[in-house]
Amino acid sequence: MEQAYTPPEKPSIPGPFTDSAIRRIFQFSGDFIIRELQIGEIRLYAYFLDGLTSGGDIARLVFQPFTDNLPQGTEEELYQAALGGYIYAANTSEVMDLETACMKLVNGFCVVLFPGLEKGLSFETRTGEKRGPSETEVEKTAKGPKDAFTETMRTNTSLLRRHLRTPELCLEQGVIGRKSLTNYTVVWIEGLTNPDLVERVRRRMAAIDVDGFLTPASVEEYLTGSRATAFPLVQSTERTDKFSQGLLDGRVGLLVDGLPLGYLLPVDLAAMMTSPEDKTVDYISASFLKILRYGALLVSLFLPALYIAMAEYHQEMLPTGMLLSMIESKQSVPFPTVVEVLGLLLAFELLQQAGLQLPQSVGQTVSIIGGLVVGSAAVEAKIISPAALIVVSVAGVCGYTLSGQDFSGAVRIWRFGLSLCASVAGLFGIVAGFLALLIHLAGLESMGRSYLAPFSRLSGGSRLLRRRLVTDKYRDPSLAPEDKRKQR
Amino acid sequence: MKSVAVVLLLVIGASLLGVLPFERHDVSELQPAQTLVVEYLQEDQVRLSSDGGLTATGPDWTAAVEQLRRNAQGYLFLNTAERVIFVGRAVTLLPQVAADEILRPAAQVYAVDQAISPDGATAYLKTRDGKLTLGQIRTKILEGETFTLPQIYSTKEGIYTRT
Repeated sequence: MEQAYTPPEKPSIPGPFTDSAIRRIFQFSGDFIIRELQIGEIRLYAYFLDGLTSGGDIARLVFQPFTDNLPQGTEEELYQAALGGYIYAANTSEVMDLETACMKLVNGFCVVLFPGLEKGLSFETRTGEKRGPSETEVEKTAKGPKDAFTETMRTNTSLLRRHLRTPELCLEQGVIGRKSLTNYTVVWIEGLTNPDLVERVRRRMAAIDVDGFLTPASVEEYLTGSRATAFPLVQSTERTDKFSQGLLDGRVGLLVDGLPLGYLLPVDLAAMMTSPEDKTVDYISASFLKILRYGALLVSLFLPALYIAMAEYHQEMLPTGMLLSMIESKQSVPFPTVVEVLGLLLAFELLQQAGLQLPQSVGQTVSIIGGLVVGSAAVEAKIISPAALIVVSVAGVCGYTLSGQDFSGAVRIWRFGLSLCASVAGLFGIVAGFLALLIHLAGLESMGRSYLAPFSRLSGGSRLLRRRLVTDKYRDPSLAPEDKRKQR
Repeated sequence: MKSVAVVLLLVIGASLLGVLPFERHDVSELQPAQTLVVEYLQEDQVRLSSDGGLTATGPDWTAAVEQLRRNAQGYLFLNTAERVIFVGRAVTLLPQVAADEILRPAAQVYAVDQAISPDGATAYLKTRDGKLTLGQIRTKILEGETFTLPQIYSTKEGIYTRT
């Protein structure tokens, strides 16, 4: 049940828009530029932040028309003329108070103050210095589109508009973070998405009252509330096509300025097991890949635990030949199986972290040296057994087939837990750990949607396999979309 | 998360209290036996010998097995025994051995007239499939059926089997 909330205190800069007030606010800002404009007898003040704005655009689209085009008259007449079209800047709006002036300035606008009126005009003159859309780095496909989200929200919304040209695409913008003043956009398709879901996301965003909203973790944790789980309750993607498809499915999106990711809500386990690749191949291949991915999930979760259970408790369950070979390979290894496997799992995590921290070329070298050279040397030195190395490697590789990094991170944590359970109580421990995992997953909800909903017929039925596009006529009913049908 | 913690604590508790129906023996501690030769010594002592040179004697099958476990350097693991060979009148122990669950039901059973080396028998029998397993014998005994064990013959030229 959602708790009642009180609207947060928005970042507020009270007071009238005057020259002294704005100078005081930006007095320690080295990039804050003030320019006086003399129009006849009237002196105006122009403000902008260097770096965020384009000096050339300001000179050409604002200053030049102000001095060349504006007719002589009173300050109010000048104001009305500037507002009425004498100034070339495309995006012009009125600034009636100090707070709006500051917000405009930090968002790349040039603000011109009419001191006698205590109000001004803002002109969009953002600099073009930003990273353009590039190829996806994490969620790659062989055949699908390659464009990925960037750190600039406006670029991302334009990418989205190219995928979904419907005017019903809603992009509701807001600001979050008292100090970071981060822009965000809630995205949905009017007439398709469940309005309750949109309202829920709006309320959650409005309830967030923090200093900064700069990292992916802050989006995920603040948006989903207190989450005592490693499993992601928000789906993040760098792919614009995946994001657009999510919107078409009836989900709500969120774009945050500064983050090269789009977020989709609600999310469930089936969504985490879906890869963009599924929509680029025929439904038979896609279904096969999905089954393979579910198999990989189970192998990644349970293989190290099963190996520990078999090697420590249930040797009689192994075929004799395999057991004899395991016994032979373990004879000279000084560590018990559980230490060996947990140590290798830990080493695997460390290698992965090392690979992430280093530049790509060095990271690959570290992975090769760590994984192959040290691994095989450790086996030859009889510090670890080949079977344990194979088990951990297979589990690790299977973990990489899962499409979401957050999800595969959660799987890795539970893999540790299940391995510990197996070391304490063999197969009994694994079953208990699995039950604990099921209880945990069954208790998870993302925006009111159960994490295991795709596995329940009551919640709308199975979406485990990819359906044929021509016969898949209806949207997932558990999302309660307003427009239930997606094709004739 | 509380329910998860409760389940995990229950598992640890069950393990610590020793209520789990199995023991922990790391695979590296196991001393596997592939062939087990059962024979009677003259003074009515049961003698067990396994490949790898491990032997033990005792007044009956159970005592001999216990002694064999004690003589082993690690934890004697009889579940890997693929063959059980009864020498001479030790065949009379077959019902007791078949009823004992320390050996795999899939273990093949043979009879031999004279004492035979477990290592030599292992090398020979590894490439042959026995016709009768411990599990089948257990069934036959329970159903009152008669059966004949595959016989191993040991000669100067080597050993061979005949059903």
